[in-house]
Amino acid sequence: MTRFLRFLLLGAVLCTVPACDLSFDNPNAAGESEVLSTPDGLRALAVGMRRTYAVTTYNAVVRTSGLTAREFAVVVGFTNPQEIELGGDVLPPENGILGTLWSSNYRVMDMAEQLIANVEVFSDPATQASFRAYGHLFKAMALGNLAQFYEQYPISIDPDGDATFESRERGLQEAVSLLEAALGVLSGQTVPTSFQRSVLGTDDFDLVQTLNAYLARYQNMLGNQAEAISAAQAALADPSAVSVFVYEAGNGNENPLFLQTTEEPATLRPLDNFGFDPAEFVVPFEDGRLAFYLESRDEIGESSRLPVETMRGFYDTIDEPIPLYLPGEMLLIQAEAQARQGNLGAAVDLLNQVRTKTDDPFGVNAGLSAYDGAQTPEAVLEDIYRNRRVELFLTGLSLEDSRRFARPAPPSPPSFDSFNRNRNFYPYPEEERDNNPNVPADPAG
Amino acid sequence: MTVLRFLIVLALSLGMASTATAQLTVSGTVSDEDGVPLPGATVSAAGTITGTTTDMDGRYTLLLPAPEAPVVIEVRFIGYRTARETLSQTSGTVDLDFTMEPDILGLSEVVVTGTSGQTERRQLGNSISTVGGDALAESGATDLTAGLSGKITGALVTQTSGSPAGSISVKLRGNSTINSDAEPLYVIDGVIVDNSSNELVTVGNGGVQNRLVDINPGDIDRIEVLKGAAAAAIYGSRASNGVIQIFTKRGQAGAPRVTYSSSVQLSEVRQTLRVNEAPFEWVDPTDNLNLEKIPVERFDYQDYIFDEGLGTDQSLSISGGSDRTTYYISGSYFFNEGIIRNSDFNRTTLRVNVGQTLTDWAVLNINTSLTRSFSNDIPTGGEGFFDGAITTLQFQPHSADANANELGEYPNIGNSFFGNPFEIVDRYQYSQEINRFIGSVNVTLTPLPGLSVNGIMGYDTFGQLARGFEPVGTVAQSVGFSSRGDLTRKLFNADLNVVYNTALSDAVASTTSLGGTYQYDQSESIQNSANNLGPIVETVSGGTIISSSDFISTRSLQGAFLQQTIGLNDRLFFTVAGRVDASSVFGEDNRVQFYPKVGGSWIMSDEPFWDGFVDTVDLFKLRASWGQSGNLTGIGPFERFTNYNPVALDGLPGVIPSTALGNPDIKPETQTELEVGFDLSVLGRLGVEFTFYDQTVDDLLLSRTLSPSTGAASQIQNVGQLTNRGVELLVRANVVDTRDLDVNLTAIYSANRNEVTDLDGDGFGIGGFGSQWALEGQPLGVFYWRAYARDENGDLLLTPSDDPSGPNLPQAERGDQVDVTDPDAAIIRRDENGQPTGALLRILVGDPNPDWTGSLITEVDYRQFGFRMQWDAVQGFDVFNWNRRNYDRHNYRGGFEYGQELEEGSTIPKGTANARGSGLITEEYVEDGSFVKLREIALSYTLTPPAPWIQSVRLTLSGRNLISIDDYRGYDPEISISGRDTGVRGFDFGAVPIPRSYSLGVTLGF
Repeated sequence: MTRFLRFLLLGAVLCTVPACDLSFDNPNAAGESEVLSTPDGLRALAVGMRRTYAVTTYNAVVRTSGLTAREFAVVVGFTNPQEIELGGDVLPPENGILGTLWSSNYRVMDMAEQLIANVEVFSDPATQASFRAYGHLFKAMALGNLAQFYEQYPISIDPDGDATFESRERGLQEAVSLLEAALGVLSGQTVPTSFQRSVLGTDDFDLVQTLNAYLARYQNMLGNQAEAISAAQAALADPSAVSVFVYEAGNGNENPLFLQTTEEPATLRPLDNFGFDPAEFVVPFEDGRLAFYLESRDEIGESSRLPVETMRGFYDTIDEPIPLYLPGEMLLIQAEAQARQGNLGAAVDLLNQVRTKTDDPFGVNAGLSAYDGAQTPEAVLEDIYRNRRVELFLTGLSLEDSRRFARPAPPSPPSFDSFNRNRNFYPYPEEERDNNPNVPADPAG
Repeated sequence: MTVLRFLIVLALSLGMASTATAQLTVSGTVSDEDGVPLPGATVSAAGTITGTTTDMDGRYTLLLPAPEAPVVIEVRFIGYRTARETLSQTSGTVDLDFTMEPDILGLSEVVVTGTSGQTERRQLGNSISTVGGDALAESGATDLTAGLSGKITGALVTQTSGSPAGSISVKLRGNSTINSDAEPLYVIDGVIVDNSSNELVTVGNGGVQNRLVDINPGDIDRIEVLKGAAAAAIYGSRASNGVIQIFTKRGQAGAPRVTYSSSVQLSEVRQTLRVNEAPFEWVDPTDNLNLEKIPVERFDYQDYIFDEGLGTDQSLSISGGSDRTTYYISGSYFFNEGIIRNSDFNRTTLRVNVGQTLTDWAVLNINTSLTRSFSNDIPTGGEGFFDGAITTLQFQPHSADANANELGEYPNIGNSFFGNPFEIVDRYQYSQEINRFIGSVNVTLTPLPGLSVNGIMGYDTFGQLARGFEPVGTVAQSVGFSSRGDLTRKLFNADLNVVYNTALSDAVASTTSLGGTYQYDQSESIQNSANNLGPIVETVSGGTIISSSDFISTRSLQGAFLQQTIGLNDRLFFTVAGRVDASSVFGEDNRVQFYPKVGGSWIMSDEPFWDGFVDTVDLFKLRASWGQSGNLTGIGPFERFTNYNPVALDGLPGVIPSTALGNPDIKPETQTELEVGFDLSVLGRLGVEFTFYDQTVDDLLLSRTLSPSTGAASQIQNVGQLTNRGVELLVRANVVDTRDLDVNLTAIYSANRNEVTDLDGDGFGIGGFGSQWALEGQPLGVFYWRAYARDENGDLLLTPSDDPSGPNLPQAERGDQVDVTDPDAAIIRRDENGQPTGALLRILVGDPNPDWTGSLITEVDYRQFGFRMQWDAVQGFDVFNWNRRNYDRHNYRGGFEYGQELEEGSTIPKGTANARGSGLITEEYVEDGSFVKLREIALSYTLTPPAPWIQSVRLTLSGRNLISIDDYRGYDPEISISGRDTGVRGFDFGAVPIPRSYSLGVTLGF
């Protein structure tokens, strides 16, 4: 008996000894050092960054600009989207959707900076250049998105939490330099197929043309007309090449706007007539883009009481790819730049390429007649604006367009009677203001 | 550890040397002060494991094979002070009778929690609360933690949901942490057990049981509760939230005792809410200037959602044993329907506790329990909260019949984003199944006089399987939804404690203890959810996977302590202890922590000068203790790392950095606590226990919000300090004590002041949809959101008559916040028309921490009748009635007050309710939650046994939560949807109200 006891007790003590391990690795996630110092880790980070942008950031951009510039109406009432839909001083800094808009762009910027800072992990120069260019592209996209919604914002990540704010022009210039630098490192290099396969994952992602397209977009926003034209032309060098974000059913990789606008119960639906005031302009019935983007529906927005339609276009199936840019945008950028430089003939020519388009790789084909309005800069720019709104419907550019084409200012007090944008710029999110001493005063409206 | 092993081997070798030479037989009778024999009293030789119990006539016979002089015989009986007699002879036969004196405060009770080995409470420098199993059995509570309500000083027990076996939160001496849950450590028979509430499939609002519900309350012998660091050296690193140690019943030598008890329960909703009863609807609810109405019919869905619940509880136990072997075996089956239609819970348990005396100096105890628990749940704020049975009520205008048509199709009743509540209770299938084993092996050796060695190994493991199924074609889930979650949880602990008692001189006694522990726990969980299900199919595999996860969490902890107690003349005691702990969740540099403790107690009434000094006070004890403890499990096992979580996109592997930035330098919180108090007994009839404590938690672990421009959202940091300061008072009075009538009153009062004293200049929201904050100088979780704009007279400042949003509507205060972390800095502003202008302000509007809690327990025994009544009070705390806020909004139009504006001849301006609801005027919805509840009432009758083979028959009729006296405008102020979350308390949003229940039972003893 004593012998038995002795074994039992010694066993109790001994069994603890080999198990005395106090360091457990996390089997559920990768560590920072593994990710940033290995090629596999950086490849995975590059995929994760694209996924974050495609699922979260893109969604936030389209949702907020769509509500503020009156492309969307809220059909099921939640406070957050309703505050944005009404806008003006109803929109408080703690609005959760604005928080997501801001933070999701900095999430992408953070991942892009991590990628750029560690590209030396790759020994092959072409691979290194591709990663660098890819990181630059996403950081520039984040900077460009923020410029659409905020007057000032930090243009790089500050881990200490007190990033300084720069003007949106400075932000756009930074985006432009990042894109130009990316095109620089890629010149003379071919994007390796291994990069295409393991990072981009699809042949429908043309890195060089995409860099040019975003360069054209931001030059256009900055008013650098000549630079915008040449970049837009480069973006159309191969008219059949396109770049898309891919989605799939499951794993949180669903087309995010499908989930909001099409899957029942939908919370947001596109406004009738592309959100134009029908008293001012009615999109002609024969415009092919009407059937491309919208389907007739008998419903009104919950608060706005404005008629809404069923969403089509890029958001009507769960795994529908979303283009990073549309070829029509590149034509319209050129048309606008020509018009603003006074070259009305060239402008109308380019505008007509959009109006009469029947061979769009995504099927965004207006199929209209050529422009026959007044040959004045105002009139031509007005038609360019209208075509931008229709051609680029709900792709996240509407608020910037509304300001750049000097559409009427937001109504005060905020009202659904007006089809104008309901704010010029957003207030800075509360999470930033509460933690960063450098946040400037909120814009008036 | 090597030292320990050496000690054991030494102890074992020495123990074997002892041999039997002579024998002493002691026998006699044990009776109370009235001369009534006391059956079941424990008689033992002090310092040995040799003992026996008295029989039905109070008689005992104790055989001591080889005693060493002097032999001290001790008699213990619950409710009486320990009696001791010293014998000089070591062989032969001795007659020894004992008369026991009442011990109204239980100071002679032997406790083990927080001590090393068994210690009488009189020796302790800190207070330990104990609750007997009988009090729990009579409480009528399903879950033993619920049964603790009102029975412990300094404890706030909150049932967070009224689902059958819904989650329960226990907070000892206030919140002592913010980051993790502040629930105490639970130990059953030496096994550290899991009490988590694992919501593997979203059912919402604290609807998942916490796992102590797996324990059959009928198996419990007693519970000991330690409340803070001062008491806690023995549990050091995990005791900062207190320790609740549970002891299950054991057999006693003698003929088998069979106890069978059976009861039936009835539960019902105590009150329902009034909803919109107006027979009209606005043509345009959003335009407050358009007063056109149309007639509608209104419905109250609560009549169908709530349903009376029936339940039954059956349990059988057999206990007994011989001199060397004792056993306790029990089986139970419990079934209870919830007050939400189609929800129920059942539990089947089997317990076998065996004690075996191996040799004169070795005892082995093996305790095992098996439990299967199963619940049918109805989501109350389920999948994305859109389809909770109670939540949806708030998002519907109550103007459509929700019944299914003849084809079985349920209509959309207004807002299809939220389900049809009838369909939710009728068609949704949510369930939890748990299979659990808890076992321990406990060896106690007393190889040498004064030396005792105790080794425990404990293992707690369970598998939890949760399912959720919403059929295709339901109102809110047209594509169906199916989810399954599995969790496997394992907890292992091994403890070795060596205690050496010796007399240094006639007056000085010494107890030295040395102990070590190793604890390891692991969770593995898998979860899959799908929609787009095929028709009929209920499993995930039929549909499109919308989420899946697989998570492993592993943690371990090691510790050792050394404790020295010196007793002078058996009336002055000093204790010093130190403990070293290391936990795997913290980085190597901060892993090892040292926790000291000192304490003392002085039984003044035993001093010679007390005699003739205050004769009526027969016991007076002063006590004080100081100690530190940690929170070595205060963060998740991998929370200190910056984790890059895997994602897959289109077949490519990807990683995304977690929004929570890692912090390799994070260290555990340290709690320092001082407690002082006294125990006093007057004439053995009145007992008073008073404690004051002052706790400070330093290096508070906080998930701090980061500027999003860092790329991350939050980071765990050690910032700040939090304090809890309070008093605990217990008064117990034996008012009447005659042969026929015995009346006892117990009053408990606890008050705690919680304050966040330092946040490094910060202040931030910690939940409750942004309403609850941690702010310097304020209690944790204060409601800090919008208040009404008021004029100079304090009346509501209403919108002007020409306001386009509507005339005469309330509005939120505006101005300049200046510094959101300082509530006093805000400046209220008015425009030229005297209307609020500027930004919406955050203003302090409430505090969820109660000012005080109290209980009054009356126990009356008259001949064969027993009566017990317990009133619980929680006073001076606020609850955010988010339900009422939703009911007020014009998007949903379901509220009673919203309906008041629609009534014929109403003078309330249209839009008033919506202005405060949609305007989030928190001040309106933060209501006083103070309540007094008739928690328990029970009447029992003990029958004269009708047959010789029956020993006892007892009938009990009891009620629970019958009455609540409160001004709260929701179902029940005693609720919190965030379950056991530390910061977010007092937040009511679609939670199942706590039922009123009745029970009728019979207990038979054979």
